[in-house]
Parts: sequence; structure tokens; C-alpha cells
Amino acid sequence: MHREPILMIALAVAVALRMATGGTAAAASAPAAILFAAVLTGAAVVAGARPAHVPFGALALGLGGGAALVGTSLVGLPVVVFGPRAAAASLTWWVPLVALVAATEELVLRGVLFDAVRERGGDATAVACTAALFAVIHLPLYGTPSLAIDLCVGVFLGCLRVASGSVAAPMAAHILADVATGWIG
Amino acid sequence: MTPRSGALGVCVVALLALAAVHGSGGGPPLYDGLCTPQHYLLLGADPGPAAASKTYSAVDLAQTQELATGEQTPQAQLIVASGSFTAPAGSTVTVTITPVKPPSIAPSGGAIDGNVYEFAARTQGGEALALSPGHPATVVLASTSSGGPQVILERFDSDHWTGLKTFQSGCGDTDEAASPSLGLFALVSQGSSSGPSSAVAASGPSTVIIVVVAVVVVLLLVIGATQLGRRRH
Repeated sequence: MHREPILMIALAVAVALRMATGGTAAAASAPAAILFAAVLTGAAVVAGARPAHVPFGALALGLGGGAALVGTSLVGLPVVVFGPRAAAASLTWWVPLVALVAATEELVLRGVLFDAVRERGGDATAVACTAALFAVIHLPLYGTPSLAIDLCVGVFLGCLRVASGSVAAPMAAHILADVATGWIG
Repeated sequence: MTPRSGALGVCVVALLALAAVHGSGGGPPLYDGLCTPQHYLLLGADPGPAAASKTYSAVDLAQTQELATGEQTPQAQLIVASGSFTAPAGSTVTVTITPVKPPSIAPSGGAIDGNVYEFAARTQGGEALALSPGHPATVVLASTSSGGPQVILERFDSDHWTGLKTFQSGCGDTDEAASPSLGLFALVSQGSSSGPSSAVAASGPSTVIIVVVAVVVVLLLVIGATQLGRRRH
């Protein structure tokens, strides 16, 4: 049985559950985020994701890519302020939760789904499809202004996956970018 | 060209495109949600929003200064760079941020989201002090809800509201803009005419529908690509 439809349905279910649980404040809802991550983790495991050795080179490439994403996100801001803008009081749970959501998104998108699409359509198709889905699943949280940004980020993370040969690179980049850009603005 | 070098090349192109999108001022940060929920304090409610005031010496004003209201996550901030105020030698400048009632003239492009804040600077003698030419201040305002409709930071200029090039920052519920003058500022929900609550509601179901439709479209594309791949093989 093809894994792609199952994974995409799982993504749609995860997004729908996140929105239903968090309502209009889905981006701020920890229970919604946990539910979202749980559905994605389950989907990844069912689709064949297993623990694997993390190549140091991929990790380094991912951290470098994450730093580049953070730097790019600051372009154009009239001022850069460093501080806990996202979670002044709850960093102990906020950072792991942000990392968990980013990691599970990567596990599905640039992990099992990427592998499944690449087997049939090659690297370019896998990068394009996963980038499109990455942009789509963020629409409910950020609306249409997020589309262009998340498409670019999706292509970037997909290419990190191709360049490194491991999901560890986009995962590290995504986690670093999300945690850092919630802190710097 | 190897797949690895090709992928790294596309990475650079994607980064440049991302920088261009950010530089144009549109869009939220990369940050993926999970903000600590902030309870926005509206003027007239109990508790109400905080004001802020600080007096700076000429030495202070030679450096970048930041003034913020007292909420846990400030609802209003002002950042001024060195040289933004030209104070007489030996005197001080008092900068204030005060939540005020909205002016009688409403913004034409939408509804005010949250409070209107007055940003002002006065000399020791009580005279209003303008920003120095070429030294805009950065005004930062929190919106009432995360993930709501797009908001624009606007300044009230005597008889009309002027939209500023607005950047979303932090959690996506904070917006900032550079302004060449102080005065009254507010976030304005674009396309909304009846207040923040209806604006937030308007963003809910429609985006879910978009997501469902988009997932179906991507699904069909993948199935199509798969069939095409099979025929080639």
C-alpha cells in the first residue's frame, strides 16, 4: 500500500485536530501542539520511521542551515531585540514543545513522506511536494501571508535533506530556527 | 553537478527568496507557534493596560534606548536609536507611552485592534520634542490575538490614519514599524470593520477549508506524478 496518501491524510488530521483543540488561539495552545505532534509521530511510525544513526555531518549542516534561516528572518526588521518574547514565564516547557513540533513535522515531511515520494518521483518531486505541504499545514496558524515564506523554507529544508542524505539536517535546522526566532525579533 | 551540490545551490536560492519576502515586510516569522498565551489588556477594563514613562539624560540618548509598558509581554514599546532626540545640553527628555481613547476618526482600511497608544517625548520644560530628521523610531505593538488576520501598524496624523510598513515579529502577535514621528499609534485589522473578535473568527473556517483543498490537490499531484513515473518505467 502506498504510504503517501496515508501520510497526507495524517497531516490533514493532525492540522484539523490542532485547530479544533486550539481554536482561534491554536498557535498558543500547548495541548493542541502535543496532539499535533502525537498524530504525526504515530503516522511516521506506522509509515516505517525507525531510530537511526545521526551522521555528524548532517547535524552540522542542519545547524548551519538553521543559523542561515534565523539570519534571513531578521532581514528588513527595523530593529532586532533579543529576549524571551515568546515565552517569558514558561521556557521550561516551551522550548521542548517547540522542538517536538518541529521534529515531528520533519519526521513526517522530510522523513517518511520524502522517502516515499522520492522512490517514485525523484529528489525534485519530493522537495516540491513536501515544501507545498509544509506551506499548507501552516496556513491555519498564520494565514495566507505565511505561504511564500513557508514555501521557501520548505524548499530549503528539502534541499538540506537531499544534500545531507539524512532527515537529521532539516530537523536540526527547523528546531534551531523555530526556537531562535521565537526568542529574537 | 552532483545532487548534493545542486541541492546546496537550491538552498542558497531559497534563502535569497526568503530574504526577499522578509525584506518586503510581509509575512510572519518562521517561528512555529506555541506562544505563551497573553491576555491583552484593553483600556477601560480592569485591570487596564499599563503606561510607561522614563526620563533620559543626553548621555542616555547617545545610545539606543527601549521603553516598554509594564505587562509581562509589553503591549507597547518604543525603541529609539542614538541621535533620535536633540535635547538642549544639560537637559533631560521624558518619553512616555500612554494608552488613550481612539480618536473620533476611524481608520479607513479596517478596525483598530487593541488599544491606541500615544508615544510622546517632552523636554525638561514640558515642550513636545520631535524625532530628529532621518532618525525614525521603532514602534512595537502587541495585537489582541495570535494568528488573526493581517494587521498594519498605523499612525494618526491630525485627521487621518497613515499605514506604516509593518513587520510581524516574536510570536506573530507583535508588530513593529519604523516611524519618522511620534504621536498616536494602533494596530489596524485589515478588512475588518466590526472589531477584533469578528476578525479572528473570519480567519478560522476559511483557512481550514483552504488546507483541506490544498492537501487534496497535492495528493492528486503526487498520484499523478506516480502514475507518470510508472508509465516511464
